[in-house]
Amino acid sequence: MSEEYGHGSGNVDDRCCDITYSSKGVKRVMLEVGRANNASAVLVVGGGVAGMHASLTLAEAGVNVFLVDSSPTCGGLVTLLDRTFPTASCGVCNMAISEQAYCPMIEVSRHPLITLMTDSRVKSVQGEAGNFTVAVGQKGEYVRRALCDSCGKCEAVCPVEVDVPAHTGMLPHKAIYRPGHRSLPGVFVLDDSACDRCGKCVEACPRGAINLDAKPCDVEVSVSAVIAGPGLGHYDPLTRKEYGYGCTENVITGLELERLLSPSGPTGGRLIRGPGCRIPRRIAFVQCIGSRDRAGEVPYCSAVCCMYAIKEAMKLKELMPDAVVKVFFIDIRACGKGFEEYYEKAKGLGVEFVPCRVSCVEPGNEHVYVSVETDGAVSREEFDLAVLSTGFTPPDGIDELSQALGIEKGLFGYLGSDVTGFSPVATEREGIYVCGGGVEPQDIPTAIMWSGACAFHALKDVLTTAGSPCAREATPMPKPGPIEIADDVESDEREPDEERIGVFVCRCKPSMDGLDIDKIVKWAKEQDQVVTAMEIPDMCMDRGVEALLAGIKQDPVDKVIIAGCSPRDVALLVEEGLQEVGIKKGFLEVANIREQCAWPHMDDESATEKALDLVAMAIEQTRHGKPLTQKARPIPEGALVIGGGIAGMRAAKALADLGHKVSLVEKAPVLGGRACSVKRSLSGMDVQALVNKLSEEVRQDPLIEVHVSSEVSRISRVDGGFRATIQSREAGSQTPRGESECGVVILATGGTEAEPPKAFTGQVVSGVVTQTEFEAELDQAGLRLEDLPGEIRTVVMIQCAGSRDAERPHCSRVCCLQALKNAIRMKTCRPETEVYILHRDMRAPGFYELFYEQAREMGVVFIRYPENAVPQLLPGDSGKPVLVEVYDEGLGELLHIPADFAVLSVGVEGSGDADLASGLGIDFDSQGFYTEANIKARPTDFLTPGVYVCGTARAPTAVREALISAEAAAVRAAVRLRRGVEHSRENTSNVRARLCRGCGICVEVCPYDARSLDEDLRVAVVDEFRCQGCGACQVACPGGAAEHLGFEALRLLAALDVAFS
Amino acid sequence: MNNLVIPVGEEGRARALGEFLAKVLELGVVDAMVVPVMPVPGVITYLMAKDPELIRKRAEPFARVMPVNGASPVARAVSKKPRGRIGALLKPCEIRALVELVKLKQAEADNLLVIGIDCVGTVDRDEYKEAYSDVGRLQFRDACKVCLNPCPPDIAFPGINIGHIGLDDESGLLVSLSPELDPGIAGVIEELGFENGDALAGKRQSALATLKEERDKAYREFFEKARAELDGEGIGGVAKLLAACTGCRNCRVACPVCYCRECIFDGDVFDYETRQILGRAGRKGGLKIPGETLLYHLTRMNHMSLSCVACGMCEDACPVNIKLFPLFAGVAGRTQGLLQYVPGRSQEDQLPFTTFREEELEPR
Repeated sequence: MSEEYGHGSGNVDDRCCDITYSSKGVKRVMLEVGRANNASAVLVVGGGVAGMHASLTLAEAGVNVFLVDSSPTCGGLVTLLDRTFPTASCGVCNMAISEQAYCPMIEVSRHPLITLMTDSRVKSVQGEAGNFTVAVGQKGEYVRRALCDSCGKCEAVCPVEVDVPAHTGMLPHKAIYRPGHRSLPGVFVLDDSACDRCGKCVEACPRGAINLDAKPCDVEVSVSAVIAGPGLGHYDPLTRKEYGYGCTENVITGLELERLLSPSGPTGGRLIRGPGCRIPRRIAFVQCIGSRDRAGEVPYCSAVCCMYAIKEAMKLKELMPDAVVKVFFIDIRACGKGFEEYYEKAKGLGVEFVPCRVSCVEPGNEHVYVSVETDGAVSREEFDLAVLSTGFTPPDGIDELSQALGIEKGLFGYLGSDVTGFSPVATEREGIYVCGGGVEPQDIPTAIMWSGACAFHALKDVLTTAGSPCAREATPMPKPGPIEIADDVESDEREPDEERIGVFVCRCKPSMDGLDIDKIVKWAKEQDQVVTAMEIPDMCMDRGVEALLAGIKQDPVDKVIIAGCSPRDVALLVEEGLQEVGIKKGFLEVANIREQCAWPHMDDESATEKALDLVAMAIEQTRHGKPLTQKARPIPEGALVIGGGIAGMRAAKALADLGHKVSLVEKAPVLGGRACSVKRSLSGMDVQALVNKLSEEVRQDPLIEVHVSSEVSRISRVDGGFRATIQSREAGSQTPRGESECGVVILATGGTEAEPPKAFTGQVVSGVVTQTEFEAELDQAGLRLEDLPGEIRTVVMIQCAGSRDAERPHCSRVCCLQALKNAIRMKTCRPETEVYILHRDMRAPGFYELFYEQAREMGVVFIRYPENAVPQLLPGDSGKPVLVEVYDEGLGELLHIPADFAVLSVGVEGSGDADLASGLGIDFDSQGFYTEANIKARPTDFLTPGVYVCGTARAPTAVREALISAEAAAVRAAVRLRRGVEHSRENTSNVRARLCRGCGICVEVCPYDARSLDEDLRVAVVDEFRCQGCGACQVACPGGAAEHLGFEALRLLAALDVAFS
Repeated sequence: MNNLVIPVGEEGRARALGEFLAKVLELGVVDAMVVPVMPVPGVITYLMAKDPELIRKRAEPFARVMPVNGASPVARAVSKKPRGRIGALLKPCEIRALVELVKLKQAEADNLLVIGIDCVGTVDRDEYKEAYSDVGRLQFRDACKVCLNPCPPDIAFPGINIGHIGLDDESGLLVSLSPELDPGIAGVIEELGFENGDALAGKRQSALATLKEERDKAYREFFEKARAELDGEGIGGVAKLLAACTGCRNCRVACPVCYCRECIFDGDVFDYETRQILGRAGRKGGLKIPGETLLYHLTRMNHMSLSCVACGMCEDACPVNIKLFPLFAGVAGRTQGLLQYVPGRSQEDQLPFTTFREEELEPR
């Protein structure tokens, strides 16, 4: 097979293509498609979270994608993580609707339109937007993927050990190795720079998969756009000697701890140190190692270290509730959605947080000593383990990449030319977009949104190149699976106990060598109803599938059992072929005798016995198998965008750019939302110009219908889309502007500045304003503060006024940035003004740190106050209207500051609307922010397909982030509209009406809002298109009326019965 | 809470309360009234009365027997919202079961006037038939001996409660009107001219406190003993306890909160084919038939234990006298405690199943 494909395609992953197109060898064809039809291809560099998301989104939109990663596998940094904050779960495998990814890595490897090119680097990009020619250099395919089955014999004989820097969390490995348990493609790879070509692995490989003479090759692809989503580099703690890294094994990095805590890590998830396998009981986390260092390599904030430290600290406390876990920090920057609440939870678990600067970590024999500077005094504390929260740098190879892409590097050597501006994903070269950690250190949801924004721009380029941005005709859609629109399935065929069953056992050499395949085949032949049982050479190869189909043709059967590897793989491989020979969907049962028998019970004879049991269970299950069907319904064209602020306008325009009709509804008489009252952004950009530009764009676009002074008075889910009534808000107007249907809804309803809490408004009448009011005063003065009324000498800003407390637990994120903006502005215009910012943590993540630094340099005084000592506003004396009383945590003193202005940063509240939410089948949290499908992996989507969110409707956002999220939401919406048809799953839930008493428990437990009660008949009904086959209803229903097709109780009980016999 | 006193005359408290209930029906507060009656000596059934005279003459509101948990027939009667209003005189455990059925959408609470009545306990129905005129010498059922809820739950329904614990005939019966009771209904009852009963309410409260203390102790001892008998034997102990089960499902029919149309164990899921039954028999050497009796009870426990109101009807219904009450109510007490759920307390408390949150699985 690899010979057949070998030339010129090197490491293009043929596994994914083989899987999808089974017997037809599509991989080669695909590359040709990419070349011939250059209008519909995009190249994505970097296979981490950002690159995978961009690739999947584009592929779902019908665009060919070449996904290039310089490492031997895709997945990036995420594959090293045990859990992710703030849900402490592997975010990618949550119960998410498979509209996109169940697990992005698996989806990427499977998708027919994605060509995965690992061990590859972009060498050059010629041409211009819409017509790029990209040269990709690929390493030789030393281990042929089509042949390797990861048996590991090569690694066992390899004599070469390769060292890797420990701080990256990676472990030493052999020259031939498997890069990680979750790596994709899941095969062994050769480190060609370390390999001494001794040839032992070639001899050891039972399948002849290794070719040490493989040559690197170049591939050229033609694409319309390029997305660069490189990952992050790791700051090397060895450069900071004072933290003791490298001197003792008791100082490690956060990533090393992550690996230690991971079940797939070097210790199997046990936290042990040293030869004595000591378990550390006192653990210190030291924050900002490398980061926020003005003089050093990383002057910015690395943005995610606070959160990963909190996550790891919590895990330690969960594992060892008695352990002492202290986090030494400068500011805890928990300012993403749900992060503050996560931080509070950590405190609740007993993790101690100490604000200070750590001056050094000294190694002892069995301990380490952490020296802490607070208020000039230094104290020293003993720990068993110190964890350095090391920051991030631009990734290795960023210079080569920027050269190859022909773009300049931006801030601090990262990619991007306008990262802090209003077109953050753009570069100076049109058609090339940037996202991911290689642009600015960022967390997963941020990376997903940035890459979504890139996908939008790339899709727009693809459509523009194709000639017309007319959405549905532009690009041929991938062929959907065969659809049976089924009503009642008549089984006019054999009685269940007369059906003919065929058992096919995959030989899969040498994986199955531990099993007695002949015995299994012989045994299977003797079972009731089994009319044919045979061995198949390799089901994952063309010849295997051919042998299977030939076997079925020769001796026709009704139902098929395959004993082989994981059902996930097998089913995809053979599905299409089986349907061609007349096997219905649902009539295939897979017994996984490789992962469940051959592998875990190697050298154990009972493995065959277990395999027999699994096959027996499969036979029993298939006896009860019923045909499964899938339904399809059209998705209406058109989009409804609710909210005409920055995010809403951008989303509307983005959708129109992709060729979709949009209704944009804004309740105010003018477009712009909250941005109307903002003159400039923190980075000095002109926000009003942006508002004017956006509103001009949406008003000019013929595809956008703008409804100002309007609201959506009613909305409901109908068939594949939504029906909404748009009502004028103008006085006296009762008639609706019309009822319309649309296929997608984007919520961009923003938020509002919260009311100042009573504690601040009671005693003092004048001189107390909110941050937004203060900004308005500055704006009115037209930046010439001489015009400000009265004598302003002292301004005191109070952060978290009414945020981050029991009543409003979330962090509003933007208030710190707004305070910095106004403080810098004040200081710029009137340097002699004293500006104080009283805060609990200054939250200026990522490159925003620079503005914090700037403010400090300009002489803004930052005073940290503790959570339980909120500053007090007292009536002023000595001619100042306000006296601010604050306890300075750093000094340990109570201060009194007479002020002309006390400026309250009051935070932002969401705009959650109960009617809207219930009409759309979505939720919002206690602060009014809409609850997305998955806080990590799907920040712009909801569990209700077709509804998307952007801007502050999801979480408080600055202008730049609002723009990014708007584009990210728009492209997700466009994917759905372009698909134009919605498929139900095959194995949905079903109601056995005769048994149903209409108690409604299933309705309550359904996470997808797919069940409801028929009020007349008093039974539950299922919307098959919403149902995702999770089975919650079947568990909840006591009467057996809720039935999960394919997993009927009868069938499972029967299989269990066999298992125990 | 508006407290009033119904005086008890020479004809006794049953007639006094009967008169009150009849009045309520007569004055049109309700269009029908469900009350326990004695159609033949020693036998108590529920009657849905339209004629007030039937109540006056035959109501047996104090009968110390519970042939059926009244929640079942009442729920069936109001499975759809009735046109007029229906009143029902129910014991505490019946009311609590009815609340669970309302939550499970098996009964409509609208247009239902629940009249709760204190209950110190009930006796075995066969013994009652023999000795109903001298019921005082009979022992309470186990479920009643350890019942922690001798008075109707306050906030379950906006209705009327009849209190008599700690009150003798001389002091009369206490009528308490819920603050949420329909003002129209409250007005009619207030106009009947009963005296204020606040003093009586105090007297009843102190009697209840004493009773509660006794019951708490009895409850602890009873279930400690029951657990001790089972513990150490694991599922084997449970299997032994249930050995005599014939699979008749009487317990689930008698259970007021078992609401399935057809028990899953009677349906096709457990319709084993002959070859399967033979296979199992062969495996073990022999197979108890009808099978799945242990699994049936465990499944029923799994389905219903959170809503179990510990009325003990399951045990009464068992034709082979299996001591089901300690097992089911014991497990229910613990599962309910774990999820801090009190079945029948209020219609507002959501069924734990419907409020499940992922973080509940996190270690505590």
